[in-house]
Amino acid sequence: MPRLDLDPSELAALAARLRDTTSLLGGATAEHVGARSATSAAGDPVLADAITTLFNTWTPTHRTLVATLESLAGRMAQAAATFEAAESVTAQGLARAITGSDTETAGGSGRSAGPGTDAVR
Amino acid sequence: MQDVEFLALTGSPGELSDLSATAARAAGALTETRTGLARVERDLEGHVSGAVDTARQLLADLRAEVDLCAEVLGRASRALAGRSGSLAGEQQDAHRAILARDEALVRVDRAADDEATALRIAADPFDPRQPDWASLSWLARMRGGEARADVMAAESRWRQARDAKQAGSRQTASHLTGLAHVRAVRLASAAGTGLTAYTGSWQSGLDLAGLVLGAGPDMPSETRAAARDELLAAIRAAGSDPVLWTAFWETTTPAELYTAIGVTSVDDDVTVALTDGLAAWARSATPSEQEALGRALVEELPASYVEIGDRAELAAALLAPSLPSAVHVGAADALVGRRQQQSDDADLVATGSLTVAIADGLAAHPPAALEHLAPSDEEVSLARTHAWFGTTPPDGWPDGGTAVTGLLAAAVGAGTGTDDVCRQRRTALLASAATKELVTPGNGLLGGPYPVSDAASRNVADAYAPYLVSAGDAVQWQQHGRPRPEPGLLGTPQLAEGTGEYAEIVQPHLDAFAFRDVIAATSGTEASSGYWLQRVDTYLDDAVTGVTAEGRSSGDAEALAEGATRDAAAVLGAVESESIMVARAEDDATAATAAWFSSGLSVAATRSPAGTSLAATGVGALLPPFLPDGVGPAREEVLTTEPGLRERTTGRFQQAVGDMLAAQGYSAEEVERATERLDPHSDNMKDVFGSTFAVNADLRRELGELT
Repeated sequence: MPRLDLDPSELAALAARLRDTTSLLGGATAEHVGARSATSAAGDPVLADAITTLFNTWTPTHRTLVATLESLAGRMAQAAATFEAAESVTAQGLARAITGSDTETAGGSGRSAGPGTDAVR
Repeated sequence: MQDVEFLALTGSPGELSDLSATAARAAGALTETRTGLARVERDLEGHVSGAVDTARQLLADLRAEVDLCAEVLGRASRALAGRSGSLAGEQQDAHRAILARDEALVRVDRAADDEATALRIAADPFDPRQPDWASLSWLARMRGGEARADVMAAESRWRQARDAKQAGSRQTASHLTGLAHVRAVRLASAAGTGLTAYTGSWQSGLDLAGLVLGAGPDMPSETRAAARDELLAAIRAAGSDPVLWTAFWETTTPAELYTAIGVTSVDDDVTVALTDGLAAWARSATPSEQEALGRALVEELPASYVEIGDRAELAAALLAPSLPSAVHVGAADALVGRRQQQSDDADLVATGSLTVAIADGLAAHPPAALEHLAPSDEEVSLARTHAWFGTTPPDGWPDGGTAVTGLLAAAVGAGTGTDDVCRQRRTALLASAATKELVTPGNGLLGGPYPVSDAASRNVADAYAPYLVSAGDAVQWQQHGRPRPEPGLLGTPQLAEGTGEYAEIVQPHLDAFAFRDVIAATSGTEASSGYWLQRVDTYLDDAVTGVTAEGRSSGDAEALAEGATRDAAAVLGAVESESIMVARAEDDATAATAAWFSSGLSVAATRSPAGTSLAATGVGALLPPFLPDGVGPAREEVLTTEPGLRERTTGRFQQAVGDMLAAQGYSAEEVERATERLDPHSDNMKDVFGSTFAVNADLRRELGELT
């Protein structure tokens, strides 16, 4: 079974970075850039409206992205802990960690990393 | 929010900078995240499995989304930072101007005081400065003039600062507004267009919109013509960039476009470019935006037909059938609204092409056609049915009614091709109401003196094909002096009494006379009558399958065959009635013509569904006692045709039932006996077929007169 040259601490760092990103991205959503602050900042009704509209229209995308990144951060952190205890990281295990299908199999000794499913091209 | 003259300019560079920093931090974090995701993605390269492929796809999608958001936030941040810096400079300029003005105003006041003092000195002979009062006064006046000039200069600088702020704000706003169109940004991103090119396209769209305003009615006529030419050239060159057209339709209303170029006709290449542009815009627009623009394209036409000019033609060209259904739904709602406001003939003529375009557009989206014509609100449904089928220009629609009848066929097709009983009910009500509206004398689509196209006839035949099962019952219902039914539903009636076989689709309550007129008006040519005969053939073939279904008793088979025969006879009689109606119309017109001629007036032409001009027959021949009896020969012709039609209709039942019994082992004699009543020449079938046929063919058959 192919092993990956991937340090579990990298995954842990990525998880932490994902969490930071989500909090910063959350700050760029419409809840934080309200109409009042845009009005006071812009000093021009047209610009204020454009600022509010911009953040409003992207808010659903940002929310979805925040949720996805948060979820991935959780799985990455869990995978990092699992890989720390395992001998090595397999591609199959990493893939399952990313997709969230089964993070317990990460170390290569897990039950679902069956033969023939992790071939190297 | 608005700036007040000679006060500090509103706005906060610091807050703008904070907003910029917020967006920049998020963009930066996303960029870092992307690097981490790319690192993990690289680790999975070269590995093959379902899970790895899924993970790789997930990461790729996520990375694309992160890229997009990071780029948008980054651009927004830079735009806001730029505006913050500019605003700070503009506020400083304004502040300096305010201080200078205040200082100059003080000098103005002081000079005024000095001048007043000089005047007082002049009036006081004991004042030692008295000899110099004129000099003092002149100097004070000079200082006052300088100070007032400084005030005006300062005020001008303040206005310059304000104007710079306003222009800069609007420029930044247009940049941010472009980024706010998530769908357009995504489209561009998916097409591999970077945000730099996106911003360029957006600006091009705004520039094009600016040309529209430049060709508006406020411009002098000589410059307006040049501006219109420039606009038309720019439209030709615009291509089908969705970002450009999104920006264009974001800032241009249909009314502005109509005013700029729709006053006179435009070349085809311009309408093609605009149509392509609207289609490109639609790709990035939400359904509600699409519906709103479709509505606006109709609502923003001038209310008076006199002012419409070529605007309606332009609107028709823009409303291509390939546009999303929501555009046509909005346009159709608005058109019905216009009909309800004004349905005079002139307006109907002026909006003829538009009506055709919208009907074509809706017909291209059958579910939308159904929802428009047969919404759950019955009153709305009836009103729309009236607007579409009971309101027609004096000479008919420009395409001979093809589009409007296509709309009906599309809606009925969508409503009857489903198991959803609610939809079937709404559709049946539509058919019931449309039947009467279509043949309303004068105003109905089929109630005028003009012929409809063969394609329209085919559409009408298609629309009624699911309801042929009710044709015979409708005639029976009204044969005994019952009142003509209001629009309503029959439900799913039994196909023949006691058989337990029911119609598969909810049936409309058809007004038999109106239905007969519908068929007669759409079967005047060989091709159009052929469409009806085809539908009848299909209906009868299906009925044969039901009649000979496994386990069917001979009694039920006979009853079902008789029921289907009555349905077919109703339609065939109505098709044949065209001959009678033409002849009768000619007779009536002949009598009228003779009366007019006797009183010394002449008649150029008379109305005839077949378009026959009596003037062409020679007026002298029309005078009594030489008036021709057109009805008599036509009646004879129909009576001659009836046996053939009856045989074609009922023969297949006799044959099919006979085959079925033979296959079950019955002897030839037994089969003959059992199918005796289905024989087309039997008294039973002559009665079953003939009684319904005669009513719809309008034969006024005498008692006992069988063919």
